[in-house]
Amino acid sequence: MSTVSIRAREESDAAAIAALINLPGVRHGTLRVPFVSVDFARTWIGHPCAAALVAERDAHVIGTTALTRGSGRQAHTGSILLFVHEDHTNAGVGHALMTAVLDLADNWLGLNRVSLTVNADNDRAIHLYRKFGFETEGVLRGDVLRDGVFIDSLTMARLRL
Amino acid sequence: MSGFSLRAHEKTDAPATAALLMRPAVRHGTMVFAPYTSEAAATAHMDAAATTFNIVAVSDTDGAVIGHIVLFRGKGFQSHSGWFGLAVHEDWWRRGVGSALMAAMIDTAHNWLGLTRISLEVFTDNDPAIALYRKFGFEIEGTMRRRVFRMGRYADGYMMARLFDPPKFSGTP
Repeated sequence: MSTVSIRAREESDAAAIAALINLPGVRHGTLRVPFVSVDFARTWIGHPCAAALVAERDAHVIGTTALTRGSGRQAHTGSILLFVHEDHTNAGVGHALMTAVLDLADNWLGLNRVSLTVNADNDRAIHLYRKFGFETEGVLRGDVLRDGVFIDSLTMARLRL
Repeated sequence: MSGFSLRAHEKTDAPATAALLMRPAVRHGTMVFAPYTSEAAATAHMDAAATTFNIVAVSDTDGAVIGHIVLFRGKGFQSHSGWFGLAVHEDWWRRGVGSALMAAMIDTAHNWLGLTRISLEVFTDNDPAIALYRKFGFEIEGTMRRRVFRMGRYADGYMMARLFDPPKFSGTP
């Protein structure tokens, strides 16, 4: 299997990002409403964030992550999200993206607290986040509607000591 | 004889509401505002276009804004949920202002907007606020460590939320 490479996300990735987000398995794990447009993806990519990366294999975008930094009294904090192509799970894609984005958070942005939310039943993602030092801080009951059911989210965070 | 009334927040209230939020005793309980936050910046945080429900409590004596509550509604897969911010002038604490604002917000959110989840964040050491939220059925869902910087230290925050049953269909009589 060819290697995964990580690079900065560009505006020209909008179509690939929209296609990624529209995959049913990705939607199930990460939550978007169906039929995300390329325009939406372009707007989403255009939102200012501290770091935005994509993972590529054979010139195909198979994952993305973004880190948003808090402002003012929350400038020591960041929140991240992560999408991995459903055909490329268990292949080190999430690991590579997390390694890169947390290196940025720790060693280049000096963040003290990085947080995320994850579907409470997304065991694979939760396992990955735990491996990177994230701990569950709370359970948000009925936080999101997924395919007709209100499901819980976990909020997880990782503090730099 | 409560001495105050509730009404909708108007644009012209923005300076008074910003001043309320900037009072050191009030600001101490907020997670957003640093000292010397401008009126414009404070107002932007409660931009009328972004809010779903925005009301003030005013003194019956002189019309001064002595309390404020603002509800934001989620989007897309979170459009069933909302979160809010509450502020009460310290001279009016323990006089029912927070309860009145909470009751009005919850009534609107649940009975008129059909929200099934309302959440908030509060400092873990803000006991009076936590007691108020508990009284209205909010439960702690988690503790966010080092959530916000406050007076030279990182402070922890609770996530609290209350769930509601979805509205019923009345059918046609």
